[in-house]
Amino acid sequence: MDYNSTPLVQVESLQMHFSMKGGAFSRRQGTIKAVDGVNFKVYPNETFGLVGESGCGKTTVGRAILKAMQPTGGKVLYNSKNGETIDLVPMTNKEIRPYRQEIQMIFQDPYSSLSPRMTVQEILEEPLRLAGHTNKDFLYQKAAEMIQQVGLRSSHLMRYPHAFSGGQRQRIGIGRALITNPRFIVADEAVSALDVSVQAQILEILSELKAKMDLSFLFISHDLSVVKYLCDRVGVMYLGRIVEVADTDALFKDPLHPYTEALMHAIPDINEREIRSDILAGEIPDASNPPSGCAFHNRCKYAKDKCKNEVPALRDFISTFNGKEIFRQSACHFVEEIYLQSNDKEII
Amino acid sequence: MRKKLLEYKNIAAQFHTIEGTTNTLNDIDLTIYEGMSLGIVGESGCGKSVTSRLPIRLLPEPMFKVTKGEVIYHRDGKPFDVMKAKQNGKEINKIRGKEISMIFQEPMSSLSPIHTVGSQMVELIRQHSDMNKKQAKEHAISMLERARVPRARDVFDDYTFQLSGGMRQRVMIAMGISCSPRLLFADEPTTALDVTIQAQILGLIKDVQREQNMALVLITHDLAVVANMVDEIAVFYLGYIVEQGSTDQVLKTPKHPYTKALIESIPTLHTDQALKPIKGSIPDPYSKITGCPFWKRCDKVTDKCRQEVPPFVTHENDHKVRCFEA
Repeated sequence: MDYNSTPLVQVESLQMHFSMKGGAFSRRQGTIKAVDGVNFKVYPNETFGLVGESGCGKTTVGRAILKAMQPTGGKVLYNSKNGETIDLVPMTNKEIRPYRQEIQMIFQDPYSSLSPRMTVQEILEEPLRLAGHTNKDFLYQKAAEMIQQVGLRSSHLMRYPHAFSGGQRQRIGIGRALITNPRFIVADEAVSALDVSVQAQILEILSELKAKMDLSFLFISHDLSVVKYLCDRVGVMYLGRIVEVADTDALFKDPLHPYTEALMHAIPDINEREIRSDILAGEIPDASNPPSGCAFHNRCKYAKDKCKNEVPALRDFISTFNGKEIFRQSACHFVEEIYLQSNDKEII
Repeated sequence: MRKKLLEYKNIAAQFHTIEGTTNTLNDIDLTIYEGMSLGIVGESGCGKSVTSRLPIRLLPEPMFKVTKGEVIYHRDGKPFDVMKAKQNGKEINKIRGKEISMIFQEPMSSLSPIHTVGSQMVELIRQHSDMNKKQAKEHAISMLERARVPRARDVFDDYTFQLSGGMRQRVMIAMGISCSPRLLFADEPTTALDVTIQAQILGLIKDVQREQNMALVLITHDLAVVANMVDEIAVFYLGYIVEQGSTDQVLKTPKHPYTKALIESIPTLHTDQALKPIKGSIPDPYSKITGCPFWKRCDKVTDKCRQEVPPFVTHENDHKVRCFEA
């Protein structure tokens, strides 16, 4: 990965605040800060993973980038095919349409994300039609090519989605996302609804097509093992903020944030015969009423007074990993004390 | 000598629906002993949930039909044939919820949204005991406390929609153990939960099992979840038990190709192995399959596998496998 190249997508202080208006029966008022100042970059041909527990805002980030929801603040800078960098946030639906072919989405639920009234051929052709293609032979040709790419047969094109299993439907969903030759894909929990034996097939298809079609992914998942398998870099989210970003190997070997550490300890391991005793207590707090200071302080085993009062910033570090110096980020007041070795340092 | 608690003897069962007939369970032979913990592992449609609902007769009869075999429940040394009793008769009601209890995957849909946590628990407790209302309330609160529900006295008066997913699952566990069952079925108890909450709930179930000295059957699709929870594992595929043995036997020295493939197809945090997906997908439940249920996806398939169902053979140290090649 070349981290000196221009990022394909650059998310800058992205904000998504929902206001809870007090209706006649509502007792609660205020704002939910679902996403509160998120920054990250996705480089060309990179898979960037976004992990966190439910309610941490990872799905909202994906939707805001695609403008399925209008962000309340921040920038989504996209480096388009012809080399210009555009901000997607202030654009209208009409302005954004030419770029829709380049940015696509794969959904979680293969059952509700495919229209039951359209044949597979119609489903696959639709993005091309929306992009202005009308030639029937061309459309069929494209659909037939794509369905083979995702491991199905062209005879399947005439069928309706109900005739397929969950794994096959997910392949169709992937085909629909890839048919316009996109450059950037947001995959939101793309394998979570599948049986384990099928999940591995879909993961393999995704990494195969990524190499073949030169794709970049934002891969959103709650499953750390899947993220570890697929992603080059990972961002960990907690309550609307990113708390750690690092190369996948480094993140899983030496986490630099107590939340990442706790999250990894919670995952059951097939070779483990005793339940760990140091599992994270408590639950993710209410986003409408987040804890003061560091949002994680009430569940953190290292928490000190400073954590209750001051919101930690996402700081940049140079750290030694496998004999190499790597760049990573962590939002913890006490990274130095808890995790860093003597030759690692913060970049100021 | 371990004491038998529940026995499935050569069970075959079918669902009859408009779309056809499914062979949901085939030749299921399984014994659950007092105080043991068993993991039932398999993917969707393998019959793992049906197996758990069978002894308390929670399945829609007569659409669901046991065509062969019997389910024997052992109480005070006396065997009782569950399938011969009336589905909602007195005898089954005595067992269901009291002696054999259950925790479901979706706590929201298995708890009543219009009753408070307390009233649901009190109803269950009074159904199965002669406690008065006050005693039942105190018992319910002590059970909530045992399920590590913080502020148990307040939660007693809450409605289930006021609770988080993890808290609902704790309430479900408190209800499940409130009549001191001899056997607890936990059907995908943590699938709907976040990993950190999952770890808490699994730890709780294991603690509760030790405290109550009851037998536990944990049903899941996730091999890693059972790895540190149970003593024995049974792997289901398409209504057959394909492999059964101690946790170490099944996970460390698997003999059935499906078990091996399943282990290799799961990405894990602690190894850097490449994934080996299983080819194909789980067959349609209405299709008729001859021979071994797994042959279409198996690498070691022979002509014999295509024609005959392999017998369930016991190897050394009680390691049972349904495969000609094992």
